[in-house]
Amino acid sequence: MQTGNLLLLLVVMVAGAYYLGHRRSYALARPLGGIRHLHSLPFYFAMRSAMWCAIPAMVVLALWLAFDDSIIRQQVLASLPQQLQPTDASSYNLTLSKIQNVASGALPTSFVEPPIAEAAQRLQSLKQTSAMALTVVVIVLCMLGGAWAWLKVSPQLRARQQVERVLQTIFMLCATVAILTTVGIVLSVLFESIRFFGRVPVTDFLFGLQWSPQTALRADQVASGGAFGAVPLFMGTLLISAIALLVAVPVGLMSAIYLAEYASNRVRTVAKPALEVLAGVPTVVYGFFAALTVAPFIRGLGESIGLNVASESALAAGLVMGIMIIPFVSSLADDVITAVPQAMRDGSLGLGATKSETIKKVIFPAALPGIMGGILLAASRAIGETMIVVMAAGLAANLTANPLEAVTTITVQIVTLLTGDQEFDSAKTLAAFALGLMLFITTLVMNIFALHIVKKYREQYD
Amino acid sequence: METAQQLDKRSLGNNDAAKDKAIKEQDTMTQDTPYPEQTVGSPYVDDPKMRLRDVEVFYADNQAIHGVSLDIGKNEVVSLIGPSGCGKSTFLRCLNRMNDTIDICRVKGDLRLEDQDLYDPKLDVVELRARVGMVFQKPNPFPKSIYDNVAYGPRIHGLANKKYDLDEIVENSLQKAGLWNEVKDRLHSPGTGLSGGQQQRLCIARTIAVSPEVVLMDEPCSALDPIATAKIEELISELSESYTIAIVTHSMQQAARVSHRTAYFHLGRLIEMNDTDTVFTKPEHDLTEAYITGRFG
Ligand SMILES: Nc1ncnc2c1ncn2[C@@H]1O[C@H](COP(=O)(O)OP(=O)(O)OP(=O)(O)O)[C@@H](O)[C@H]1O
Ligand SMILES: [Mg+2]
Repeated sequence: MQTGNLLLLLVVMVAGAYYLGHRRSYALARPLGGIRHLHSLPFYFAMRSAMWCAIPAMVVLALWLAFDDSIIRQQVLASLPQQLQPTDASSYNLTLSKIQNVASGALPTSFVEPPIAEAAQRLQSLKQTSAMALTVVVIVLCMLGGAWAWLKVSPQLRARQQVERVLQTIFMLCATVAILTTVGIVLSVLFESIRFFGRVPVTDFLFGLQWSPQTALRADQVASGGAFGAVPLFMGTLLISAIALLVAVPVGLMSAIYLAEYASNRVRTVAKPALEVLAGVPTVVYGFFAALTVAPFIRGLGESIGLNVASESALAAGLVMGIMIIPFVSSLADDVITAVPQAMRDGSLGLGATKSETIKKVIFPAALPGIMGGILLAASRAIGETMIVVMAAGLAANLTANPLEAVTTITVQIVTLLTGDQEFDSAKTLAAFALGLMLFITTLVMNIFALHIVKKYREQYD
Repeated sequence: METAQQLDKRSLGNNDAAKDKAIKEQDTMTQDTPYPEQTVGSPYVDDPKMRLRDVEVFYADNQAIHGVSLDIGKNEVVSLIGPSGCGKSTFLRCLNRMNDTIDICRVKGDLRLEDQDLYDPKLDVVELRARVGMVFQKPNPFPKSIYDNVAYGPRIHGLANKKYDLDEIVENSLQKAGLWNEVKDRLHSPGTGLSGGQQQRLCIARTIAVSPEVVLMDEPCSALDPIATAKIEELISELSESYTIAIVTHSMQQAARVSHRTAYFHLGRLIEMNDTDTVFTKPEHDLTEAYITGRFG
C-alpha cells in the first residue's frame, strides 16, 4: 500500500479506537451510575485509546520510511558482481541512478549490462516487499495498541494523567525539534564558514574593502581569485536598514500612539487592519514599486536640484522597505500601549498632565519593552529583506555612505552567490555561508543588546 | 410621592440585568421609603470652596446622578457615603473633570470652584486638575522612582526652577504624607516596590506636591490594612488644615472619624447632608438611617 493511503487508513483506525474507547468507558460507567464514577472523563479514555493506537504505529512508520531506502539500496548494490561495484562517490551515484531509472522504466533494460537489469528487478521487488511489510506491521501495531488500550479501560484507570503526560512529551518533542533545527542550521553554517576561512583569511573577509567574488574564467584574468572583503556589504546593509528604520520607527510609533490614544473606536477598527495590510503585501510588489516608481521619482527630484542620483539607489530601497516594516512597529507598539493600565493614565491626568505629557512620561516608558520588541522585529526584517534591494538598490558593492548611490546588501549577495551553476565547494559559494554567519551574529548581538536596554530602562507596572 | 417613585423605577428599568437585580433588592428594602423631594439637612455653607448645583451625570442614556446640589466649604473634609453603585465616584470625578476621560459620560449642572465654572468650555482642564487633585481607590504609583513620582506634577507645571527647589518640594510632600522617614534613604528606588499603604501615601504625596486647593479621594483606604488606614486617616486630618478634601468611603467609622460633614447618596440622589455627628447620631431621613444602621448597603 502507498504511504499516503496507509496514513489515511491509520487515521481511520485511530478514529475507530477513539470511538471504541469512548463507548467502552460509557458502557463501564452505566452500571456504576454515570460517568462521575469513572476516574476520568470518557474523553480521556477515548484519547488514551487513540494514542495507544496511533503512537507506536506512527513511530514504526517514521523509522521505517527513514531507513528503508538506504537499506534496500545497500542490499541491491551488494548484489552486484565485483567489477560493477562502485568505487567512489560519483560512480556510486551513477550506478544507483542507472538502476533506479531501469526500475522505474525510464531506461530500457537493453541499454544496460544484464547485472544492472537484474539489480533493478531486485530493487523493484525489495521495494514492494518493504511496502507490503510496512502495511502489515503498521496495521497490526495499530490494532494491538488499540486493543490493549480498549482492554485496559476500567473505572480506576488514571487516563487523564496519562493523556496529560503524553501531551507534555509531545509538546516537549516539538520544542526540541525547533531548537535542534536551529542548532543544526547554525552548525552547518559554521562549518561551511570555517571551510571558507580556510581559503580566504578571516581578516580579509572582515576588513576587506572590496567585494568582487567573481572567480576567474581564465587564470590570467585580473583579480582571478576574487576579492572577498565584506565591509561594503555590511555598509550597504546598514545604510538601507538605517533608512528603513528612520522611516518606520517614527511613523510606526506615532501612528500607534494615534491609534491607541486618540483615535475613536470607529477609526481604530478600520485603520488598524488597514495598516497591517502593509505587512501582507508581497515584497516583490514593493520591489517593483521601489524600482519603477520611487527610484525614478527620487532621481528626478535629485536632478531638479542638481544632485547626481544613481538610477538604483539605497534611498529608494530604504524608503520602500521602511514603508513595508511600519506595521511591525505600529502593531506591536499599539498593543503594548493599549495594555498600559488605565490607572496610570488617570494618575497622570489627575495631576494635571496633558494627554501628550502623559504619553511621553508615563505610557511610553511603561510600554518601552514592547516598543523595543517591535523595532527589533522591524530591524531584523529590514536586514533580512532581499527582494526590494535586488530590484531597487542594485548589485554593485560600492563602499559608500551616500544614500543616493547604488549599494548592495549581505542577503542580496548570498542570493547571487548561490544562484547559477557553481561547484558547491568553490570559495564563491562558501562565501555565502560566511555571510550568513555574519548576518546571524549581527542579529544575535542586536537582540542581546536590545534585551539589555529593555532590562535597564524598563519601568514596570504591576 | 408614590407616583414619583414609580416613575423613577421605570426610568431605571433600562439598565442592564445584573444592576436591575441589585436595584430590585434594594427596592424591596426601601419600598416604603420615598426619596425626599429635596436633600434633607443642610447641604449648603457660607462662602463655599466648591459650589455644586443641579448636577446630573449620564453614561450614554443612563442617568447616574440626579440633580445633586451641595457645597464644600473651605478647609473642610466632606465624606460621601452610600451603597455601592449609587454614584459617589461618578460625582467625585465631576469635580476635577476626570469624567472627561470616559467618552460616553456627560455632565450637566452648575459646578464652581470658587468663581470658576468647571465646565466652562474656555477652562483649561489641565490647570483645573492641578487645583483639584485626585487620589484613587487603588494605589497607582507610576513605574518610576519614588522621587520621580512625587516630582512628576511639579515638573510638568514648572513649579521648581532648580534641582534644589524640586528636592525641597519632594521632601515637603513626603513629609506631609507621612512617608518621608520610611523612604528618605531610597528615594531613587521604584515606587512600585513599596507596600500598598506606602504606595497610597506616595500617591497622596504626589497629589499634594502640586499644591492643589482641593483633594478628592475615592476610597483611598479600601485596599489597605487597618494600620495603613489609620495612618492615612491621621494624614487626612492633618491635611485638612491646608486643603479642602472630599472623600468617598465605604467605612462609616472612617467617615465619622475624618470628616466634618457627610453626604449620603442613594441611587444617584443626594438624600441627606449634614454635620457628620448629626448624620450618624440623628439621621433625619429614613434611608440614611437604614444605611448607617446597616439595614442595607
Ligand atoms: N464608565 C462607566 N460607564 C457606564 N456606566 C458607568 C460607568 N461608571 C459608572 N457607571 C454607572 O454609574 C453608576 C454609579 O457608579 P459609581 O462608580 O459612581 O458608583 P459608586 O457609588 O462609586 O459605587 P462603589 O461604591 O461601588 O464604588 C452605576 O450604576 C454604574 O453602573
Ligand atoms: Mg466608586
